Amino acid sequence: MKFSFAQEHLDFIDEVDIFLKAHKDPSVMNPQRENMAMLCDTPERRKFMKKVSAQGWLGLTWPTEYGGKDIDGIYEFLLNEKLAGVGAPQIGKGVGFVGKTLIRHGTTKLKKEFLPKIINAEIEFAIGYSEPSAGSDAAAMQLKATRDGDGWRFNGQKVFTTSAHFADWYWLAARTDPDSPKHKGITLFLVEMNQPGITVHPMPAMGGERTNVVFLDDVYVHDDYRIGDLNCGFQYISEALDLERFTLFTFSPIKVRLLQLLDYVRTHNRGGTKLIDEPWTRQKLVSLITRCEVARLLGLRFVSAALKSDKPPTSEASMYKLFATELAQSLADAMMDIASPSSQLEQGEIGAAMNGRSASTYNSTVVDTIGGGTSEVQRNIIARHELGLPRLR
Amino acid sequence: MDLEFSENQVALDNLIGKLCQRYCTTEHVRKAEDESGMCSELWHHMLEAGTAGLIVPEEMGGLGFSLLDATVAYEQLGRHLAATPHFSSSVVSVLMLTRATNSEAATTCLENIANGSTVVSPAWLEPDGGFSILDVNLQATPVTGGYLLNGVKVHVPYVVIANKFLVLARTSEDNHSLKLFLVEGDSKGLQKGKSANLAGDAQGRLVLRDVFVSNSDSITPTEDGGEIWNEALNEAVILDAAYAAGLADRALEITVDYAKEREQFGTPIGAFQAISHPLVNNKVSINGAKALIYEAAWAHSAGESYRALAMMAALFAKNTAREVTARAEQVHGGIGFTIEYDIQLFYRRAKQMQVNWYDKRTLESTIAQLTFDEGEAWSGPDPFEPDSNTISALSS
Repeated sequence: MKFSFAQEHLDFIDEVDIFLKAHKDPSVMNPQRENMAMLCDTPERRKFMKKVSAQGWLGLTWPTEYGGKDIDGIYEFLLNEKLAGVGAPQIGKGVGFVGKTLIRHGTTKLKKEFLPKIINAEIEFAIGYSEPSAGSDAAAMQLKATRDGDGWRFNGQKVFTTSAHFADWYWLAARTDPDSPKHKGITLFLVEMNQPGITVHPMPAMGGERTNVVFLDDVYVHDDYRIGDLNCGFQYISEALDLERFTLFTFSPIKVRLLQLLDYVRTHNRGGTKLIDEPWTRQKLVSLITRCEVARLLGLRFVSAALKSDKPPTSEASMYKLFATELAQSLADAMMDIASPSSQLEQGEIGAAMNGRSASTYNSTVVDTIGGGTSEVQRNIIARHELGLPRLR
Repeated sequence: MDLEFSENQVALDNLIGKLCQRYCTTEHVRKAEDESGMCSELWHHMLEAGTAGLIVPEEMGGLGFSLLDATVAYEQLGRHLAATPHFSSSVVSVLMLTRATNSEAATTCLENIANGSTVVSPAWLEPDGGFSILDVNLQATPVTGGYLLNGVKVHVPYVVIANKFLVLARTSEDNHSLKLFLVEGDSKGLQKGKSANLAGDAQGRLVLRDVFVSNSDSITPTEDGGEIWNEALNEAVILDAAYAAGLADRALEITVDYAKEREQFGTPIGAFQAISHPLVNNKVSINGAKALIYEAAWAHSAGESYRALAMMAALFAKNTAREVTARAEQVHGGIGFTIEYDIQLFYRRAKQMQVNWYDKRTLESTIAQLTFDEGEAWSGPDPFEPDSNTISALSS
């Protein structure tokens, strides 16, 4: 047993660290954008991602014939943890499940058109799976694609397409066979965002965050932009989770928030007592540091298991995600309570605790236990895979 | 990053697991509870296998295993609710005696623990006291050639079985003037008796009336008995935590099996999310507890900061065992409350673990003191952790 990272991994982390320090820029790196920090949604951030690309850090796990480095997936994990820690945009959908699914199932035409753009950071994708009636039950999606000559006509609505307002292309799942069982009538397509019939409506969210509703009204797409086989879309979506062996809800932002809280209690008083000396505060903090280390270790259990196997450690990923995201919410709650009443003030206000981090964290962590599979879905996965408990018939 | 078990760990896991399966079934555990409080057959075979000297250095006749190696043995002991003096004698006493480097008596005693001829019990707590060394009031009065000990010790493990006691006693009113004494079990003036308790273990009380201890059996030359005591326990709690994690693991397995078999409303109750989801939370906590225990033990063995991690592991693992067994009772329904079902054995022991070898009050305040006041690390090496300047810049 060994709880430290291998030297080659530490060397890579150092390399990323040096790069991040050299390109330090508050318009690109802002931890207080919380979940939105991972997006490549501004010109400055897209420019930054070009620099990440120039380092050769996009397509780390791709085969060399597509411009990749063909190295182990752990490097994508290490890179994203470092990027997340400073609030920089992360490598994600493009080199992740979009690129990896294209490599596996895409036609030569699609590979030629998209893979170089992905690896050169010239393209941003939006993901269209969720619909008003298809959340945790993603296979219940209803947006329709009907055959029209050489292509398809799309009609319907997607929700929670977070990147819709800046993405170039839409990675869209649509129902192509309404008569088959729900998992077997879905096909994946690539759809250009900027075209008639696509309307993007903002859905403002707590904490100044934004997601979108996307309406598709008779949008035409040539059959060349169909991904893989007809009616195999849901299979590809599930499979992509397997290809993304090292993709994990990032831990660094949680640790950074806790360190900010510890810094706050060391430097601030209430009633003449330093907060760190107050028994009430100490007891809360002991619970938080303990759970924080447990969450970090559940993440390392995942990493260790993923290093040892070609299959993604599904249960380990779910256990980590469940524990870490619930910790993130408890931590946000404690930041509000411990730094009260200054904790309620937003960034930039005079006297805002932790420069508004408690307020931004409190609002932004709500989605942590929902996006990427709700806590309830994670528990169902663990109940079946890890405990062998039956499904309800 | 490698969280796989080492060869030593696999071998030890097999050895203790096999011994427990044969000599520490729940029938053995129930019998122990009704009689001596000890699983005698298991202990006999553990002695034969040389495990009494598990962590005793090889030059003193022990096996010289690290705490990291030993964690797997303790998980097995916990899984089977093994009632043996191994923890109190071969772990806590050993860790205290190895700190008394200049004492010949301590060295001899270590050798005798390792060869299985001596069982030592630490005698620490006193009536109406807690885990603070300030609560130690047993008096040690200097006399010619030694000391006279007077007072009462309670919660002394395996009180009837032990041949020797490690007694923490006060030499003056000064808070920190404590010495450690090795007291023979058959000393004149020493009275022993078992105490009935929540989990039916073999603890009891010692009444000392003018018990004479020679200078050579006063094993701490200076008055730092309290520090030695706490330092040794800071290491030992790692294995206590491992026992709790093993206990929790087995309790959850029993409960999951029950939830698969027990049918109500025409379906196994484990299919209901009201049953399965809390059990999943238990499973996640157990895996987290084990990882924290291994990390604390690894840090100890690798020479990294381990003191806060060890206490955190003890806190989290014992809390987990309590939560798992409380949930286990609820899932079992009415039958879990009966003596016939095994789950009650786990429920009582999990709570008892939370009030022994430090309680929550002591663990939490010690973790706070170590990390917030003394700067001890509360995380293993984390290459993603930003430096303190970066953190304070974020808040300004």
